[in-house]
Amino acid sequence: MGWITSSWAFLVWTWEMGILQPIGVFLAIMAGLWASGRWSPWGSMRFLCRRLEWMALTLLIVFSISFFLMRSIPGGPFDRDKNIDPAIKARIEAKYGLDRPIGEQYLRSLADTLRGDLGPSYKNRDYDVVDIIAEGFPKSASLGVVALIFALTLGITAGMVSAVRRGGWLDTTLMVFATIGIALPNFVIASILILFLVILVPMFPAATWGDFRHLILPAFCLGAPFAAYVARLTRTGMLDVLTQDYIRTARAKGVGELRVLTAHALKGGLLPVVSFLGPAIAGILTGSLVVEKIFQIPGLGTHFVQAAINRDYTLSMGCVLLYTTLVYLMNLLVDVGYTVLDPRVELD
Amino acid sequence: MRRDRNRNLLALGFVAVLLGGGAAALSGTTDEKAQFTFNNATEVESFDPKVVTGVPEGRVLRCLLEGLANPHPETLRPVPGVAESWDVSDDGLVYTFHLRQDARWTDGEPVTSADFLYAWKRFLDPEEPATYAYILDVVKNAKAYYQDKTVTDFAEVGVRAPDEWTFVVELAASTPYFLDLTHFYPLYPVPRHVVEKYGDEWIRPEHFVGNGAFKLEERRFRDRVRLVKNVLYWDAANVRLESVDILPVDDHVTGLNLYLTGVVDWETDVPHHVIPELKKRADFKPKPYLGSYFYRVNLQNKDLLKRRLVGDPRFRKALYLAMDRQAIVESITKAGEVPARSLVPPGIDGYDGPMLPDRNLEEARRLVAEVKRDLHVDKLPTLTILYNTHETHRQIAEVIQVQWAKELGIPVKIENQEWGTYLTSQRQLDYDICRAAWIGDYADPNTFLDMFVTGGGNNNTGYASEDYDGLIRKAGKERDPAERMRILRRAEELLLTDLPVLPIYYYVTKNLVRPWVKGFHPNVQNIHPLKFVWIDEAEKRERSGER
Amino acid sequence: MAETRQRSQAELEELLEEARKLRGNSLWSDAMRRFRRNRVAFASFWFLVLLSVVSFLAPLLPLASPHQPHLDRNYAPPGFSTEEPWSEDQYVGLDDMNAVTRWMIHARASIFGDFQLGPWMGRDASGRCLMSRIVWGGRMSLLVGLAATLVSLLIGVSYGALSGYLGGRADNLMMRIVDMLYAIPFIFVVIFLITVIRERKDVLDAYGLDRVTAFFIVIGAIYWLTMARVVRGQVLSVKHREFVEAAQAQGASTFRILRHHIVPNVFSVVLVYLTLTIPRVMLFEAFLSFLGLGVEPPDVSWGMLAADGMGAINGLEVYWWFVLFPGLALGLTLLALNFLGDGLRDALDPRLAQISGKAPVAGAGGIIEETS
Repeated sequence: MGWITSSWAFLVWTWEMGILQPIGVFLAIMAGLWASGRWSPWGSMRFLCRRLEWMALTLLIVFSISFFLMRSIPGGPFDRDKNIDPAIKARIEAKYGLDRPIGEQYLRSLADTLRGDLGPSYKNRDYDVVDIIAEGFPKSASLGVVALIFALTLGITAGMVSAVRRGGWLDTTLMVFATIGIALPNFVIASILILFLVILVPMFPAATWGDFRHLILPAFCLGAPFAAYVARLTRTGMLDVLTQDYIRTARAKGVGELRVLTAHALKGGLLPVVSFLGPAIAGILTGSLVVEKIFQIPGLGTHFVQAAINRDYTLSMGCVLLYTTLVYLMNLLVDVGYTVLDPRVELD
Repeated sequence: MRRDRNRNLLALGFVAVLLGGGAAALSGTTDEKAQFTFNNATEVESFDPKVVTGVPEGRVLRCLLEGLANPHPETLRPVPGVAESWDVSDDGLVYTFHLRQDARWTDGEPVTSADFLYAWKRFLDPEEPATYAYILDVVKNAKAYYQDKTVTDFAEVGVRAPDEWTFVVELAASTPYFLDLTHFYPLYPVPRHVVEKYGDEWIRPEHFVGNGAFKLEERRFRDRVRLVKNVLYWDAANVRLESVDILPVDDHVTGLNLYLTGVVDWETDVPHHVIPELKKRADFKPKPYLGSYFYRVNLQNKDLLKRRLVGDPRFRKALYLAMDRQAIVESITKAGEVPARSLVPPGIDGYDGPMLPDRNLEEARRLVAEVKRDLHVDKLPTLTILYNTHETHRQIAEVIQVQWAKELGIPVKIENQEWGTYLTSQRQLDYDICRAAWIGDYADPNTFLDMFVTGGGNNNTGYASEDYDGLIRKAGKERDPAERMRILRRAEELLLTDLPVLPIYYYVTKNLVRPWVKGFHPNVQNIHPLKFVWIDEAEKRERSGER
Repeated sequence: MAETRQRSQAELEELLEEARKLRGNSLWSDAMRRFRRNRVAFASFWFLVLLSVVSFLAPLLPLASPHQPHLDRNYAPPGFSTEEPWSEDQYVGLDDMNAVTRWMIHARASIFGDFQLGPWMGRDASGRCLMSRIVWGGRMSLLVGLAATLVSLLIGVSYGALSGYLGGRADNLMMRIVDMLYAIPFIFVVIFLITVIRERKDVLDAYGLDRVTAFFIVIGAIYWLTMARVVRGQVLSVKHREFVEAAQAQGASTFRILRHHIVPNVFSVVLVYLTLTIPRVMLFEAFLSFLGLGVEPPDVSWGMLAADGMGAINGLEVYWWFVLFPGLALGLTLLALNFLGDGLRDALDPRLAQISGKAPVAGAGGIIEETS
């Protein structure tokens, strides 16, 4: 067993160091194209290149907007409640190139970013932005993954039950819960959960990061609205499919009800859920802004909000760029995934 | 069929990746709880003494590094640190520190006077002076070296290391609080051999080397800092905490919940709305704190009418007299804060400050009428109270708004700005009246009073008085401590006559500490070196059921 | 030749008339009938009407001032006693309020005198009456929802309609731009933008805006993408229908065609999408309030109240009313809006189910929508 753990540790390490991530995404896209049965090296490459061009353009625009917006907010990264002597402050700012004309700063910072150098954090000067992101990203990612698992398992189960028991009290209850899940902001859900599961019955820690117990509440709060939405989509999809001929045929053939549902109906019923995965993943990524703040999780959401408040130009820029890239890649993956599930869809 | 199989494979792969990712992210994050955990309320700016300014940074640095002296946990008087003993010349100008020979850096290298000399030289680097460089203005030629650049050779600055174990400081003028500075964290030594090797990178956890009672074990950004007892520390035998966790939870309600659920042993601040509840408990005992809450008045207002109006000391006096400080501390802050009738808080040894009269509405109304008559102003302009966005500040501003409006007939608006903007407005004198606070860096009136010298970096009111500057200068040169305090008192009297600031209340500390945490003493600067703290395990076992 | 021309002219007139009737009568009366049968949606509709009326009339109701602190009674539990009489100077920023609100406060003074209802829902951290704050907060929340949605409507419909109508290259480019904007995590840009509008009053003054208006515009400006796409799709499908071609043949101007023929035809889609956007905008406001970037005091909003409620959840004492009532107000309203939107969709066009089935979720993620 030793080699398994050590090679797993190696994998995790390479992933955390950011070596594997681009390769991983690339492989996933390729796997998707292969599974769709329409894998041709030339066509796929062209498709990828075109998408990446658009991504580069998007990133450039986001970079520019963020850069100028950030610098038009009053206050700078080296403002403190106890004023630093202006001469000393000027020298600190000069060290980070903040004394140069804004156009020059823009070009320099753009060039640095292109080289992959996001610079040091201005507020937490012991850290480079890249290090902060490398530390925070796995935390946000694991929170997101658990939230997504929550959303999918909870949502699909509820949706199926609801569809099968259509019109019954179970259906009504589940759908009311689903609508509540969509209608309540997740910080209200979080405060209710904290009240019951942390304060009245101390089952979970109130905040901070640590073992698995620290993850349950935030992941649930983050996943709840998406679970609700998945439930509604699954229900609609299932209801649609259950009236189709091939299901009736299967039933007529004497296939068991459970098998009809899981083997035949589910596949068709899940199509709308798959197309929802793109926005869901993106939403979970950005939704963590609030959840991370409530539960004080040291992930990218917390870092971004703090960086914006502290005028930490470099760190907030790093977070914005990372999120844009992630959202773009996730959407790309979902597009590819969709062609796998639905043969009628062509890659653009 | 082939496509079907492929699809299943893909789905399987997807699930595997999800589960694997979840497991990977969680593996290795399980931590054994440290023996003592405290919430520092923010991620520290840096571990580098040259860079830091804030109170939270101080709490961490006092664990990781040790200066020439340590503060006594109760009195805060300097007790031996790296320096075993020290002599002061008769004129109070030359301090000779005798360093102990058994002090070690965590990598085993000895801590010598060269490290201090290097650290202070780095602190005063004219190219890139430390944020707090002005604290060493009391040292001979220091200011001339790092700011005026009239002295270019560091050898002329009053700091010397005649041998490995002797460190000599020569002051420009006798400074009674100089010994307090020896345990002020920005002046801690840095390991010369490490800083020279790694440059700015020396502060990274993998390179960091300290000489304090605790050693850095792990540092995770905005997650926690884990410290363990430093076995190489010269006084390790008397350090009783084995491990310490430092959390950066910035929300006080969450912090309180962490304390109440037993995660945290020491909370440094509490949400104000639960203070009445907390005061019923034995583990919450607010104590006087060396800090003042006050309003700044902008004496260089861009609006000329306002400038003439608030430029009149009688008008400012009226504003002061109409404020109901008692009501503010009783119904808003509630932690036992004392209404302030001066700028310098009480509790500084040897200083007996002046006091303004208490609230007096008739006098206030009379003064306003007088000013209106003399300045031929009929309709008063609307004054705006600026505060940084925070519930308590807003409530205080509202109360004062009502008092000024109702009692004096001055139209008042209140406005909040987010922290960064508020600091900018304050610095650029872009306000009428502005909420402010000051926590003393060392136990001496000077830390409050020299703020308001003409053009001072933290003046922020446009107050300029030659008499006042003269008094502060004179106090800086005075060698007799008692006479010096008398001069400072005269300076504060002058300040309270001119009133560029309107005192409101003196702070109290709001520590929430578990009863079994021993060696934790209240003191006026709210400094609690963990070197002296220990856990009474027997009491902890006995009482840990209590919440 | 002339005869055929005349004949086709007459035919065209007929066609146009028919089209007008088609969308004028049958569509709407059918929809109304279907909508009435959906009891939940119908009830939601009346609930929302009632809520809007109460919110609009808030200054006229015998409520306490939402600004009047009672520091000695902070976090007082729900009760019925009114400790002190109402007066007009208890409102903060009375001079800055608009004329209608001020008039309503005056009118209230003459109708109810200094009578006011007790703190039926308890008091907040400063001892202000929570019930009054919730009613006033509803005013602001609904206003944000409506105003920002209207902004998004304006941008989305004009962009989408133009793109769909122009077609070809222009359409392609315009939709590419929308695609690209979808990939931007707007929340980040919005946080910067809102910080700017909050802190740079000089910039706003230069454009003659106040902060609240700028706030509406910023939120509205990020919700137009899906609207634009939906409208474009509808326009494309309507464009080649006969009555449009007929109008074109008659030589009607592009603008006229857009206004008289295309826009009314996409109206039903827009209406459905509108009811589904309002709750998302309101949730987004709550989300911003939680981050401390929402509306600013002395204004109140539900998001702000709900976010304040977070502070009441602590292990010492739980001020349940402080979480329950704002959460309930926000939750019920959003629920009703969702039901109404669903009901309208089912009533107006069952085919639309697919569009909104893919529509984005409310909440933080709501800003990011599907790309495809």
